[in-house]
Amino acid sequence: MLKLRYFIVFVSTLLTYSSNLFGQNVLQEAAKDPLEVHGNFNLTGQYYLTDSAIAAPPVTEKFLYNGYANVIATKGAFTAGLRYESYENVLLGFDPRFQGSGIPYRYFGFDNKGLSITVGNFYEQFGTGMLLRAYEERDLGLDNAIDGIRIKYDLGNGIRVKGIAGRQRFFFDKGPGILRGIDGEIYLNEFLSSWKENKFKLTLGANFLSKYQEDNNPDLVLPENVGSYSGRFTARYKNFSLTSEYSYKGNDPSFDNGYIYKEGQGLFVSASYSKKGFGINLSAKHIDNMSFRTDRDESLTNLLTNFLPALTKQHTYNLAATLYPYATQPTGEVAFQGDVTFRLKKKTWYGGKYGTRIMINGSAAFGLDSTRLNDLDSARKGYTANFFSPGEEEYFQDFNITIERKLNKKLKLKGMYMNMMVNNDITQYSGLNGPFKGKLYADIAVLDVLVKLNPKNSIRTELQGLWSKQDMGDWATLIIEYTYSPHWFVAVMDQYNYGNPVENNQLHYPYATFGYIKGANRVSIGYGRQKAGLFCVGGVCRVVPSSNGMSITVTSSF
Amino acid sequence: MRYLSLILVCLILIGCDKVEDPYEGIRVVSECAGTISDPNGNDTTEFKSESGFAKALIEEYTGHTCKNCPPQAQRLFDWAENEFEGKLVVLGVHAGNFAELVPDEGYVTDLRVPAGYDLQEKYEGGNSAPSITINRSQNPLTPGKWNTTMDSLANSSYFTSPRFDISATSIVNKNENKGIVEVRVSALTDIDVENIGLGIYVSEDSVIAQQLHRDKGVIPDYAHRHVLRKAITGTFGNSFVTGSFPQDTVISQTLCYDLDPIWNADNCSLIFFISNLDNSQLLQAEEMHMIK
Repeated sequence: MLKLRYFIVFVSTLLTYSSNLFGQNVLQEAAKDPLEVHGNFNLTGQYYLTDSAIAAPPVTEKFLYNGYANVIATKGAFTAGLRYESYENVLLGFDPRFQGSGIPYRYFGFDNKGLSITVGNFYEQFGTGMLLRAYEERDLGLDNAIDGIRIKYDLGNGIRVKGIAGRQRFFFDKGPGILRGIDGEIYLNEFLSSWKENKFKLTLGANFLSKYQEDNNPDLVLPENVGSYSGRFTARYKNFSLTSEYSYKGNDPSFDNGYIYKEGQGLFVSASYSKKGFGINLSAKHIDNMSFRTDRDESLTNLLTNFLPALTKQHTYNLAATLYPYATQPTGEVAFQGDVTFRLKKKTWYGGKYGTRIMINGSAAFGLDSTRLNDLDSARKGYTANFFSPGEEEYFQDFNITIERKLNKKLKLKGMYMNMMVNNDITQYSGLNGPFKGKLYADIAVLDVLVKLNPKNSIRTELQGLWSKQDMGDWATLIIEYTYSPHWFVAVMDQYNYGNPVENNQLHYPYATFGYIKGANRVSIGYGRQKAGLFCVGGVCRVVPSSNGMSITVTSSF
Repeated sequence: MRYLSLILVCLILIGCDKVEDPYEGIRVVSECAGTISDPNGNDTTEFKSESGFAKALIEEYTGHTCKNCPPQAQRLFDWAENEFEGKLVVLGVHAGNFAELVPDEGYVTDLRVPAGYDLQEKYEGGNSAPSITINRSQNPLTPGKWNTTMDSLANSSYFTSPRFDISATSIVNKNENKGIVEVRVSALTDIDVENIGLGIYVSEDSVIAQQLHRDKGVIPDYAHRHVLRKAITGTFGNSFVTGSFPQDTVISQTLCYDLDPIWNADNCSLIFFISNLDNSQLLQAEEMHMIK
């Protein structure tokens, strides 16, 4: 606690120092500016029907919803906002601890002459987010906003600094841990006058983050303060770009790592080259024991401090996106990804009249090349791992190619082929047939056809197939969307698990939806079956249970 | 820049605690260190008892030729799961006449173990099967008496007044067929028992073997639930604490054992019980999966 007091004194000093900058009467300045109020509203509700065939769990309330509204007011240098959230009760697949209504997010902010202060809730990211990324992803049920103080200061000459302190959101409460951190970035082409015209652009950054959580474990001596730091750079020269970040975390025993005292480290490297009609990106990462939360005993997406993106393509087509997506393994992985995009010239025999776009992507993730240590020795380090050396166990592999071609003014085609491998001993996917062990191999093909009948009417059709000899076998999906611009749309979809080795599970999952859009308002109503699966954003996933029923979504902004 | 340097130094100073010995002042390094020659194959599982309630051990004396045992066992597991919401640890003790092998009729899988013989001898369980003991506080009860006894147990303060907090680390190495278990027991109140014992059993769930069923006749591939496989300690527990066990004291014991190759370690559990060695009655019980 003594150290915490020092920190509070430090923040107070910083605030006092900062207040010297408010020499002029900012209130008078702000009075001249108009008051602007903005906001948005979102409601997603579902009426659930019992459907034992797809193991849809019974819902005693019948109707569940997740809803929220943001209101943000700005006047001159001042800004304030809040978000009201309501889950009465929370939709299936989201943590039931969200249940309730209230205002979990509110803040007040002030900007003047490069200094920005926020008190209350805020989202923040240091570098690539390997140590700190406080963000919300509502579809994942993830909101790790910080409640505390944030100070950002643009010192000029390309130097920017920010500091944060506070606790993270935990449903309608706060987590037990306290975060304290500082991040600095320097853009050398602004800082060094001799570099101003230089075609070589370089940005350097570094940050330090510490969390405090009381040691309440009778069996182990736990570190109450866990420190971490990282350094990064982004270099650009003409069409080339190279970015990298290395991060280190001190001993942080947690539920995720089996309460071992090993230090964590991560390295992310990404290089790219692009010119008109061609782009290539190669990236790699080494993650070793980098799970970081403000409650060492939490799991899933709760109280995550950092963000470790999966180095795999984020697929959007339904079968590829929801059946076997890959989630980053924060306890350890080595991953690689390559992306090539190019366009075949238009008005050629191979490119067609409008040109053809081809995207090739490949990725693979492996376990660490590690050696286990005795778990009961006095250091309790767990294991040792060779840096950036893939282990023998492959976790995931994906190769895919997408070809887009516009045939004429009315017809546009897009085809995708994907070959993938998922190691389910790691991903632990469990569908209608229950969990399975070992590796799953699958081929997926998609044909996406867009027909513009006239400027107001268009029809889009998706044909998807997934073929696998493991787990639930083969799938087919058909989607037909009709859009009557600018207000109406209607879509029907059927997913058919025709190749399921369990005959009773060879089921159809039909779903229909229609909606109306006018200005910033959108209403859509859907009805049908939804299969169980995983919903992932950036390598962070949520299990979605199977369901049957009618759903309604209303969004609006002002 | 001076201010920035100052900020950074402050943060680094408050930033991190490096723990050199996670067990300092808590326990000694394991007596079993070195038992496993290659820790690469280790599966380590941590366990901590849920705070606020105690669990009771139900030992069911059973056997493969006991035709009434399967439906009554199901009754126990339903109780454990529903009415008692996980507060019962159910263990199947194959002992007595009904557990004897009858090769001519296909009852060839021997689920009897030495610890089961000891229990049968002491409590005379298995002579009338099924029968149960609850925390070994009485002689085995036949099914007609289960309802009354279980109701009485449910209405007592036993479940809501835990006397111990139990945590454990289980290390299993399937490659070497070795297991290590470290149990840590913390007294939540001053324990007024002279000789306290700690017992550790291995149980295995879903052991497939032939079973006679009252309604279904002979079932060749019956899944026997939570079968007693081995007592890692003595059958009635090892001496753990003598004299006094004051509140907030933590005492641990680490034991090494061999895995029988016929066990499916993924289906095995470790059962812990704390007993009064003077009368063999159990004070509290717990159960964890051998492998997570």
